[in-house]
Amino acid sequence: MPGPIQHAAMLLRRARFYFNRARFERELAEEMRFHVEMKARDHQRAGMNASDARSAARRRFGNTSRLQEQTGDIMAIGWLDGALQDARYALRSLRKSPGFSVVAVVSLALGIGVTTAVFTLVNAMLIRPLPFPEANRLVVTFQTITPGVLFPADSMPWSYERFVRVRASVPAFADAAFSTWEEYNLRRTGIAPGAMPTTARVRAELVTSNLFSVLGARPLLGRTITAADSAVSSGSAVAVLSEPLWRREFGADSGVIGATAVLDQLPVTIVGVMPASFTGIRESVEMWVPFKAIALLNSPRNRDRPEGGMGTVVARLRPGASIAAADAQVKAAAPAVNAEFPVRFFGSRKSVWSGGVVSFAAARQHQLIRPLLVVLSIAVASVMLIVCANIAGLLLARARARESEMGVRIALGAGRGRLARQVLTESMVLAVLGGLPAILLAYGGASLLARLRPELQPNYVLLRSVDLLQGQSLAPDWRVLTFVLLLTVIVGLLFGAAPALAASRTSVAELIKVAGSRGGTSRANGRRALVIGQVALATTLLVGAGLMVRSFRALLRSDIGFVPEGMVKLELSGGDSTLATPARQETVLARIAALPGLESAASYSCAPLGGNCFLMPVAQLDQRRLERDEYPPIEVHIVSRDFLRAMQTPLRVGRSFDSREASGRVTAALVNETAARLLWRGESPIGRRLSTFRDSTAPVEVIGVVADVKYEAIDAPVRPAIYYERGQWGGGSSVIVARTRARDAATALVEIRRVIFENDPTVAVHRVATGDEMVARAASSTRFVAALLSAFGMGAALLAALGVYGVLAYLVSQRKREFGIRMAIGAQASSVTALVVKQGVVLTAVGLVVGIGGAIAATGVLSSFLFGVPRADVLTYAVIIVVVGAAGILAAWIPARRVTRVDPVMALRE
Amino acid sequence: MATNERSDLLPGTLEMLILKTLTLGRLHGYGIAQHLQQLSQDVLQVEEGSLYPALQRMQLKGWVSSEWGQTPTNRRARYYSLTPLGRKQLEQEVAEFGRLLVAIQRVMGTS
Repeated sequence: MPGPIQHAAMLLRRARFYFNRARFERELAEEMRFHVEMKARDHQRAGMNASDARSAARRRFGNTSRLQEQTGDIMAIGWLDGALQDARYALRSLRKSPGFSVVAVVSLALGIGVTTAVFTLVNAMLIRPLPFPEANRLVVTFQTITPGVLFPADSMPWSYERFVRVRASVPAFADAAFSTWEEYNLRRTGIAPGAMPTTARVRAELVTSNLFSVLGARPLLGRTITAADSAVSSGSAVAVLSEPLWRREFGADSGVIGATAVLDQLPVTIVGVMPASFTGIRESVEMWVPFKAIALLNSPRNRDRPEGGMGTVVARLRPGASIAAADAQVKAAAPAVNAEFPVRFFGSRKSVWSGGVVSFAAARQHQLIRPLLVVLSIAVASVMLIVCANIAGLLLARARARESEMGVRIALGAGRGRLARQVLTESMVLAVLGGLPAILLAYGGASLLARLRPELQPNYVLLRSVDLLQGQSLAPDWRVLTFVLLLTVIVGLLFGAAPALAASRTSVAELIKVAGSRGGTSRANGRRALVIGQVALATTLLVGAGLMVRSFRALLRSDIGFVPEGMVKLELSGGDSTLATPARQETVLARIAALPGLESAASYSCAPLGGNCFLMPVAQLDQRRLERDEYPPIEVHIVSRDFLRAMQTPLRVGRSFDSREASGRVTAALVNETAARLLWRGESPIGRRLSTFRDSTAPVEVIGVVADVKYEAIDAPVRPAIYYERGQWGGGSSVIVARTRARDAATALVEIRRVIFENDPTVAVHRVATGDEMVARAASSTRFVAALLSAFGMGAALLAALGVYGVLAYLVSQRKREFGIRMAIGAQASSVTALVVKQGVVLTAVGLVVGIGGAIAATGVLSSFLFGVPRADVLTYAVIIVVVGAAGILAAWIPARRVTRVDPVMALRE
Repeated sequence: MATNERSDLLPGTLEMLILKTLTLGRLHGYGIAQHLQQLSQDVLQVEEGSLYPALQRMQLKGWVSSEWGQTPTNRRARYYSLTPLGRKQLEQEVAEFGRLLVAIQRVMGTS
C-alpha cells in the first residue's frame, strides 16, 4: 500500500509530466524506435533481409501509437486531462465566433466587476476586521436614558463620571478608555515674522491616556499620551498628531516632537505622531489630547453640559470574556449608577439610566450604511442575473446551431455526460475570461463608488465608518479574491447549466428525421423563460430607480424654509471676544452686508441642513409649568435681528424682531409653524408665552410664527423650534449667512472672509458652502442611490431588450419557411409582422407583470431612502410600464421587419 | 486509466518479471525484453511494446528510475534501474507469488 509520501511523489511526477508532455512523448517515441531498430538488427544478424527483419520486429513490438497512448494515459490524471482538452476545444470554438465571445466576455467582466466592486465595499465596511490587533475583543458601550429627550437612543453619549463609575464595576473589561471630540483652532507658534498667520481647524479627540493601549496602537514618532500627561494642571497639555496633520501643518518634520502650538487658547506640546494607518476611532480626527484638558479648553460643547464631558467608551475585553458577560455586568451596574448619578436633564426627574455593550464592529456602522449596501447588493445581484440570463440565451442559440455537431458526436459514440461536461467547460472558460479583467474593474469601481459616496453626517458617538473606505482598505484582499473566484464559478454554472442540459438531451433520431428544421421547442421555451426573467428584473430595478429619482427631485424641490440660491454660509469658531458680543458681531454683519453684490447678512447659532442644533425642553407653556417631558424637545436658535431676510424664510404671522426688543433680557421669541401647531393646536400663538428653562421665572412672549426651516436632514421631520434674538440673549453666534445678488458666490466669499479676518485674525472660518451646495450635500445619499439604480436599471433594460430581440430573431429564422408559405398563399406582410411582434409583446407583458410584483415586494428595502413619494407611486409604475413596453415592442419589431423581406420562393427552396 | 495491455502472462506478473530482471543492474527496454525472452526460453510470449506502459507505471510508482545513456554501440538509450522502493516491492511480490504457486500446486496435486 503506497503511503501518503508515495502519493505525493506520484502527484509530483504527474505534474512534471503535464509541464513536459511534448518531451515525454518525444522520448517515449525515441525509446520505442530504438527497441524496434535493435530488434530488426538482431533479426538481420540471424539472416533475414532488411525489410523482413523490420516488419518482424514491428509485429513483435505491437501497435506503437496505441502503446504510446496507453503510456500517456498512465501518466495523465483522467478528469484533468479531459478538462484541459475541453478547455482547449472551448477556446478554439470561442475564437471561431468572435462576435459572440466579445459580447459575452465584456458583459461578464462588467457584471462580475460591478458585483465585486460592491462586495469590496461591503467587505471594507462590514466584514473586514478593524485595523486593530485582536479587534474582536474591542467593544463599545452604549447607554440609554429613558425617556430620551435629547438624543436618539443609539447616539446617546456617555458622561465621564458615569464612565469612571461603570468601568470599576465591569470585570470583563481588561481596560476601558473614554473619548470625546471637539473642533479647535490650531495655531503654530514660532512662525517666521511677516508670514501670514494661519489658523487650522482641527478635529481633536479628548481621550483618557489608555486609549492607545486599549486599541493596541503605537506611535510613528515620539510617544503617546501617558497617565502623567492626564493630570493636566499647569495650564498646558500634550498633544499627539495624526500623520496627515503632521504632513499638512508641520511639513512632516521629525523635529516636531517637543514643539509647541496653541489649541484655541491652550498651549500644547507635541509629544508624538501616529502612523498613517492609525485613524483612531472616529471620523476625521487629526489630533489627540488628554481628556482632562477639556477643563482648560473652554469647550462650548462640553462647558454647558449638566454632567461634564460627553463621549464614547471603548473597552478591550479580557481574553475569554464574552460580550454578553460584559453587557450583563454593565446592566447590573445600572441601579448603583442611577443612585449615584441621578439623571438631571434640565430638571427632567423621571429619567432612568441604563447601559450595555456592543461589539466595536457593530457600533461603527452608520445607520444608513447597511440599507445603502443592501440596496446596492440587490441591484448588482439583479444585473448579474440578467447578464447570466443573456449569456445563457446566447449559448442556447449557439447550441441550436451546433445541434448537428452534437448529434454527429453522439452518433459516433460520445457519452451524453461527456458532451454536457464539454459545454459546461465552455461556459466556465467564458466565465474565467470575464472574471480576470473583472478584478481590475472591481478595484476601480470600488474606488469610484467610494468617491461618489454620500456624505454622512457625523454625530456625537459615530465611530469610524465611512473613513474605512479610503486608501488601502479598498485594495483587493483574500476575501475579495475568493469572492471573485466563487462568483465566477457560480456564474459559469448558472449560465452554463441550460446549454449543458440541452446538449446532453440532443436527440439524434429527431435530428435525422427533420433535418434541423424543427425541434428544440423546449429549448425555445427555456429562452422565453430567461427573457421573461430578464424583463422582470429590469422592470424591478427601473421601478426602484424611478422611485429614487422622484425622491431626489422631491428633495430638491421640497420646502426647506429658505432659498438656497444666492446664499452663502460660513461657520466661525474660536477667536477672542471680537465676535462674541452682539454689538461687535452686528458691526461685522453690517460690513458684510455693505459689500458690493451682497444684500444682507445675518448670524445664527445653528446652520440649516447641518444637524446638531441645540435642544431644550418645553418647561412652561403659558401659565402651566411642565414637569414631565410632555412635548418633544424644542430646537433653540439664537439669531441676529435680521435673520429672516438673509435666508429668505417667510414670516407667517405676527412680526419679526425689531427695535422693540431691548437688550439685556430675553422678552420675545418667534416659533416655527411646527411648534405653533404642536403647542397651541390651531390657536394663534401670538401673545402666548413659553419658556425653555425649568428655573426661568419669566416666560417669553411669542411675537411671530416663521416657516419651518430644515435644520436637520431634508427628509427628517422638522422639529419644533424657537428663535431668540441674539441682542437679548447675549453672546455671539457661530454661523453667518449672507445673501448675494451676484451669481458669483466665490468672489463674495473672499470678501466676506477678508472682513472677518480684519476684525479678528484668530477666528477660523470653516464649513463654507453655498446654499446650493448645502442642498446637494443633504440630498447626496438619495442622489447616490438614484444614480446607481438608474445606471443599473438602464443597463438591465438594455440587456433585457437584447434578450427579447435575440429570441424573436431566432424565432424568425426558425419559421422563415412557414412565413414564406404564408406570404406565398397571400398573407399580408403586415399581418406576419404583427404575428412576430405579438410574441414580443407577450414576453414583455409577462415580464412586466412579474417585475412589478417583484418591485412591490422589493422596494421595501428602499423605504429609508424614499422621500415625498409613496412606495406604490402610480406615476413611476406607469412610466416604467410604458418605457419597458415600448422597449420590448421595439426589440420585437426589428426582427419582425425582417420577415417582410423573406422571399417566399427562396424560403421554400431552402 | 487504461491498464489492459494484452499479454499472455498472469495479470501483474510482467511488473514482477521486470523488477526481477532489473536486479541484474541497469538495462534499457530492449535489454529487458531480450533478457525475459532468453530466460523463459521463448515460453513467455510478451508483446514487447507492452513493456513500455508497464515501465512508465512502475516509474510513476517510484519502483524504477530512468536516465538516458550511451549503449556500447554509441546509441542513445533510456536505461532503467531498480529503486530501493522497487526492491522492497519485488520482495513482496516474490513472497506473494510463492504463496500463490504453492496454492495452485496443491490444488493441482502436483506438489
